[in-house]
Amino acid sequence: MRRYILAHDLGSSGNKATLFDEKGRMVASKVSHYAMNVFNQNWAEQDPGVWWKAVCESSKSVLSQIDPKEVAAVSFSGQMMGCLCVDKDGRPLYNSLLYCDQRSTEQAEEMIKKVGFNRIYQICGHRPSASYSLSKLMWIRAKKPEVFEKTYKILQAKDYMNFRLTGNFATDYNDASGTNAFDLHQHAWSHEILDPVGISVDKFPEAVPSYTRIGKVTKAASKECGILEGTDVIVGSGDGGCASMGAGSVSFGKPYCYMGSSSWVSIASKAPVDDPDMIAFTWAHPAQENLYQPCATMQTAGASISWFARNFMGDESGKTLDRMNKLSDSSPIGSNGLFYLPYLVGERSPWWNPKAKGGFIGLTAATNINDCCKALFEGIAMNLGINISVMLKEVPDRDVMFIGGGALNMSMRQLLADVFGCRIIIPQFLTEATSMGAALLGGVGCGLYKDYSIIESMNPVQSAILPDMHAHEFYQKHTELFKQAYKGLEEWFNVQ
Amino acid sequence: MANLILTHNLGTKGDRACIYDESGSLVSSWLETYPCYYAMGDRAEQNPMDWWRAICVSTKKVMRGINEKDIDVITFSGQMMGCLCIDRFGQPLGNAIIWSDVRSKKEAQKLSEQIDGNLFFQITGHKLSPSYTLSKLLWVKNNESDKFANTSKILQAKDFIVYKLTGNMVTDYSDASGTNMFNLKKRKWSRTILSIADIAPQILPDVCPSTAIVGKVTMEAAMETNLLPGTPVVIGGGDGITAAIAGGCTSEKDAYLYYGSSAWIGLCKKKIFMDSKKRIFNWAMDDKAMVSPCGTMQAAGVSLDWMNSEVSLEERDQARAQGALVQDIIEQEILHTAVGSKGVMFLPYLSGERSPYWNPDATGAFVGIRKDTSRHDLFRACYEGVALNLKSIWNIFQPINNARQLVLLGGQSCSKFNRQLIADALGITVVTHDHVRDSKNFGSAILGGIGIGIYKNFDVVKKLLHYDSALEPNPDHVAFYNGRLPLFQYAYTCLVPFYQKMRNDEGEGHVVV
Repeated sequence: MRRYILAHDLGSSGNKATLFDEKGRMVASKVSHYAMNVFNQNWAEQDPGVWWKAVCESSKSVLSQIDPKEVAAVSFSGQMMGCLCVDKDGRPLYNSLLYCDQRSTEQAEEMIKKVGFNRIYQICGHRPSASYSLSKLMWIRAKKPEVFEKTYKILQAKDYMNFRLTGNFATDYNDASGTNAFDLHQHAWSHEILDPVGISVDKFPEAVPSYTRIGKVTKAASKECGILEGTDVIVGSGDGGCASMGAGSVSFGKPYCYMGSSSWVSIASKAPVDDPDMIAFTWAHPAQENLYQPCATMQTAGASISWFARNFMGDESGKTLDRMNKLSDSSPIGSNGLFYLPYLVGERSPWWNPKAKGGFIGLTAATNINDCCKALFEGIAMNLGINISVMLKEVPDRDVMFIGGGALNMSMRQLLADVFGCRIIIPQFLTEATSMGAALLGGVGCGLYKDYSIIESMNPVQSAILPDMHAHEFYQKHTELFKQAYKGLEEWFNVQ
Repeated sequence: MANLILTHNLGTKGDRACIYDESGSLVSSWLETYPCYYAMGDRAEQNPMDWWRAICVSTKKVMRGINEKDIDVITFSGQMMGCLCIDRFGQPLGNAIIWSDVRSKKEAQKLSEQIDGNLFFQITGHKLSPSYTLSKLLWVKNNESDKFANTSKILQAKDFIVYKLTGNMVTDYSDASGTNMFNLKKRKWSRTILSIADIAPQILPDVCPSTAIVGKVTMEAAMETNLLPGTPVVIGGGDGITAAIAGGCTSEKDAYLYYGSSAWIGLCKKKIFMDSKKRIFNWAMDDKAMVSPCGTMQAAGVSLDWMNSEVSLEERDQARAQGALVQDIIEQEILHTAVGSKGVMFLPYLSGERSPYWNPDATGAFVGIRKDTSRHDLFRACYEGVALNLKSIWNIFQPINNARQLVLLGGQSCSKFNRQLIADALGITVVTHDHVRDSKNFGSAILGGIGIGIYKNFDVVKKLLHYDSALEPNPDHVAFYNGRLPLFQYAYTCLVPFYQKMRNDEGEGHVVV
């Protein structure tokens, strides 16, 4: 019986292969690591060959534990917003420029000039910037014309893996919505953006729904990766989309918060968020075509806590986090007037200011380390609170799923409940969301799973934290002070 | 041994008693501490009987092995700007409201609507503010009317002790000039201000020079202190002036920086310095022709102490293991870190601020933290924040400042790291001498010595002090801090709306949960 889904999570530091059975249970998993080449400060590349090697290695490892005939489908979650140029035969012409590569700022300026900042946001749901695929492709055109000339398609990481498995070029709506070139409303590559910058629509692969079966594993691929020839390949989606699915955000509403090094809040909505401040950005939702996935990402959530632990607590171990929880709990709500601005590498949502910086504001002679810990947590929570408020007005739901390593932080759970004024829901698995999302798309795409609701048994709810509504009221006012601290310093960040 | 001078400095933490011989050498020293009662964020009080008890204890301790007949004079330095109400029997009416108390904001505000700010500054040499005696007295009048009705005199800390020793209630020019009620040029209580504030002049003590002999130790006081009855008592001065004397600040070419818990820069001038923004104030010096323009920041050493005790857990463990001081370990660690703390700035407004901003609502901050910011950057930022704030004050003096070097006093001047940083930040040669830790006592010893004729005049100070070799500023660092200052000041400016919003919300009870 074909009863397994092989789900791959192709991240920035490695690929994780996970086998899920017909009931959604995790059976085996294996991570194969690879490196990121970072140079010139903010250039970042990967050789797509190392992705394939990691996929083959990890596939073989997990398949050795079952009968490969029992695999119903392969599916991917992948890092997004990259730019990999391949020729007609699918051969990479250059390393893939990664999501965090910032070399194409000049090209981003060019497209903003030609199409208009707000218009691009309206069309593709994202602010135009050097983070996305289009400006990166324009950089290739400008600086590596010989590469651009031979470029047949530009692919996202998982799309290249799908090509290696099936020989077919395709991408899905979700990954397409991370290119700055995709019309979110029409689900089509945008002539309105691409024509003025002089990039042909044909450079982009056909975009399909994320659960689409795009082919079968070829004989040649099978030899390399150990997945049987003829196994169904489901296109899958970007890791942002897969994480949402894994966090149970598979139908309208369903807010959730992911917290790792960075942190984001997201929902499933019926339309892209119409926000004049453009705090959030919107992906195409992988679950179905009439859903969207507005999202607001802050840069340094867990990274702030690690920074503090490393510098002031000696290390970043779990024990240290427990200690910080205790310290934080000994400071009253509001940290005796101390505020932490969590902007250690600039900020995306809500301020979109790469020059923003971190700070502790409101120190007095009576401020102690407890207040510092509490303010650290509160600053992160209030920043997310600003972000989620844009989302919550779109949906009736007031239960927020909390996933990622940051959800292990007990103080943070309660703080998010209090700041959001929402119930915080903790599922059994906190760090498997992307793999689960890929498995859901694979399972539903090949027919092994009836629908996405299997996520409820795949990752059952473990506990719920109730908000203290008095604290919520306090934090609503407190957030205004937090905003004032940032806004006051905004000009200072710019001149520093 | 003969010709000894017994001095007391009544600080916030305690009373330090020091005995000096004629050559200015420290013979013995004792610190007796007493509590300070802080409340409600803006209140600070001390019990005057704690002061007296400390005086009695420290006198006995410091006199061990010394014949009381050898004490030629007893004199004082003291915390200033307080408000102690005394009844007609000479009994204190409750605690003294001390210098750092700012509860009387409303009184100061109301008074500022009744008198022109420039006129007020011209008369007193100070800005009208809740830090001074006048508004504190008005607070007592408005909030404790019985106590006010029973008040027959208002005294400063050292004046109360002088009263306990001699039975005479007087004050000196310097302490009088810290009350917001004193006419600095005429050296008299200001009738204009007293009548506007509706304060009867009789409530204020007579004012005399800081070198005046104001009485002798009474029998009763002798019983309590073991001093010889009849020993002369010279009134001495407020600690702003005793520090100036110890800073060798006795001519128009001198400048000093006192860097202790708080820090101030002072000069010595013939004319009151009328800073257009009133960021600087002026103390009366003993010489009627001289004033000491001065700018005080609140949390200098306090900022470093805060850093030592709250954000340096690792260094604290190390210090305990090695039996060393936390601050010494930190200074070792940051000695070779980059000047400028990788862009992080520390605003040292942990207790609001006086000079240069006079904003009681200001709070401290670290701003400009990046992912690669280390603990050491934050430590260095604390030092640099205090130094840059002092640079702000230093620059205000620019129109009248012709000092070639700066004398550093106070506990923090013992740190070589700090001395070099001050030289670099202010761009001036820095020296210290052998009386930086007991500077206020030393300054009062000079007043006492002049008072009884051991010394002829203030020229003696520079002869008695032993200066160490001068530290020159590093020109690269000077250029760096010159460029840094506007950015440092701008960070404060950017946060002013936040401070205001915080205060408004506190007013609505937001902070109390």
